[in-house]
Amino acid sequence: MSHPDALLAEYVDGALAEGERAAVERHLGSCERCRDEVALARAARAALASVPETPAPSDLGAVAIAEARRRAESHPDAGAPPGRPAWYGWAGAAAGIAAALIVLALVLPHVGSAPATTAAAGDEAAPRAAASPATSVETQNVNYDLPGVESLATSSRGQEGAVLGSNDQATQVPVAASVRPEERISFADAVTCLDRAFTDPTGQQAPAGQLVRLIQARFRGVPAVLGVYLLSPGAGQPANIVRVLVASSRDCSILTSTQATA
Amino acid sequence: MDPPEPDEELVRRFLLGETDAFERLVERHRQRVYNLCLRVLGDPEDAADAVQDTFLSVLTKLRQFRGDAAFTTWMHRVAVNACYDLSRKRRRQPLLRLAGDQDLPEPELGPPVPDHAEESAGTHDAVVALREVPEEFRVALILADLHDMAYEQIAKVLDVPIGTVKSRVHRGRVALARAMGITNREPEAPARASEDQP
Repeated sequence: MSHPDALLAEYVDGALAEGERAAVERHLGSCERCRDEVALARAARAALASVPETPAPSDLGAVAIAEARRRAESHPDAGAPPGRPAWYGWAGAAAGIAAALIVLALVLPHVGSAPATTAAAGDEAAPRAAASPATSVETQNVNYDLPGVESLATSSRGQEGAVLGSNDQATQVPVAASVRPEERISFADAVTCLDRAFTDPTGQQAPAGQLVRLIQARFRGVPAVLGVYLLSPGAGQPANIVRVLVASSRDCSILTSTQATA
Repeated sequence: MDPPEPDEELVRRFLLGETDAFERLVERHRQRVYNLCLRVLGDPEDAADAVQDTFLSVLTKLRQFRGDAAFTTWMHRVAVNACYDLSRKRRRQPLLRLAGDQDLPEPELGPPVPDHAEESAGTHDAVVALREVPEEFRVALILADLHDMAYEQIAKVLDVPIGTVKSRVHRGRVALARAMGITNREPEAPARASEDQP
């Protein structure tokens, strides 16, 4: 016996036309399973009818509103191409130049230099002060949270590749939550995105330090670019600060940042 | 008193550069989207995250909104997808939290007491039991019975045939009743509250 599930929903709603209602009632007369289900469905519908609305937190949506204002202030023209923020227009053109300059700035100091020996001999806690600059984007199927980013900063101080989740089966996320092909971002766009997110609005200073890793993953479910930077405390000291900056790869807004010191 | 400005007009004004129009859209739909996400995900913090994701997605994708469906239908679709994304993420969360969230409390089995302090035990049962209803039935059920959305509109939100929606709603109701412990043919859900009284 087939059971008219689709009709039963409307029967319980009292929304069936006379002919359909009569047909359902004929079926119910001979089908105990559907009679039981109709009674259960009525009970559930009655229970849900008494569930009140829960007040939403008053600041819910504030992030999106602030983002809308930020975009409007920085790019008041509304003529952006469909589906893309307005800044993509000029960022795309500038990205190649910016990336080329950044790569040169990162690579040139190491051209012809000795192998990575800047860290003091025997100082195991010293970071990879002379680590190779990042030249490509690592795509990770990892959904970072703040402790994960902090772990990334900590592990990047001394152990190349010992990054939370990068090779850890336990932290893989399902394909549906991983970086989708259409979300893949080029090296140039990723660097530009981090620069845009973390450039000091008053001093126009791009993120300081040497970019040693560039990762595309997710942060709390949001497609994200993670930049791992090595910084020196200054005064000619070797770089012993690892800073991780995380920006949304959708709109280059700041998601989080953290740093660790050796 | 002037009638409220239609959503589609607010969308049009936003696309012309009026940020206030987007703000009004968020304020208008915040409550509804939050309650949808809260009932789908069952956790206020997750619901808040999903709502933030929803409105950020709406902001980013609004230029793709063509008006061939009502804005509310389109926005509900974005919200449901945000819930699905977060739900998938949460299923992996215990593994991810090994990194350093040991101090966080165990995830609650239901929404916190303050959200439902005024509700009867029967209502609370329904809210908690919703989490035991399979997700695709649960979403259809919430849209139909908590958001009073027509089956045809739910079909557009979920992008499935209307017959599938009706079946999911029926199966969701049956699953909810069973999760609430209702086993006989009489609608005893509200009566359960009085049984708990002295």
